[in-house]
Amino acid sequence: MPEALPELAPVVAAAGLVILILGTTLTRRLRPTLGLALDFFLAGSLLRLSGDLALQAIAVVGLLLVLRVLAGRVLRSAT
Amino acid sequence: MVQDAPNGGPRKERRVEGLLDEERLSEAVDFLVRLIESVGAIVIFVGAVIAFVRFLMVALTTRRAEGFLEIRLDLGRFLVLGLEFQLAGDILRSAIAPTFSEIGQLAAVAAIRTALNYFLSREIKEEREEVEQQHERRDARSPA
Repeated sequence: MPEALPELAPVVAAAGLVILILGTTLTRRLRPTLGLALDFFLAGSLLRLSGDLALQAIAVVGLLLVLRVLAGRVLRSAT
Repeated sequence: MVQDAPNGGPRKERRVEGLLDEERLSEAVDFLVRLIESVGAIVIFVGAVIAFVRFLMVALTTRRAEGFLEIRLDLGRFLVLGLEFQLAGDILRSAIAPTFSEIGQLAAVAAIRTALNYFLSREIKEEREEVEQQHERRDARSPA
């Protein structure tokens, strides 16, 4: 069971991609959709990190963390 | 564990066997870490599934992007809860991290998770205020 959980990470990341495409197409607004999709990418990376302590995985999560904080600030100032 | 004594007869090892045995302690902590990290991962995955279903409902029925903020807020709550579990696992793992490189990796992961937890909690607070303002504006617009 614990070994199978990080394998769900690509599923969550793919859901983020679906949200980005479907949300932008249906609502015609990129900014709120991008924020939600970014959270899904982050959730996927966290799932992967739960089974992998490799430096590469840590770096990806760190990068997404920085992106999320920056995107949060940009989105808030823009809306 | 049984060892041969210098005179040839079997002799019990002096090390205390039982709960404080290093190997057993290591195995027990390892099991607990896997259990706690699994709970954290399950929380994150369940949160993502719920958020995705809600996204489909909002996007396909109302087609209003304003509803995404509330979904993001709830997903953020699940992420914070999952991260708390994973941090608990990190703290527990630090009890049995034997090498310097493992301790370094553990410190990096714990630092990232703590920072993420902090920023997520802060953003959730700000987004909650934003959602409340949206609700107030909607209430003010609708006739009593």
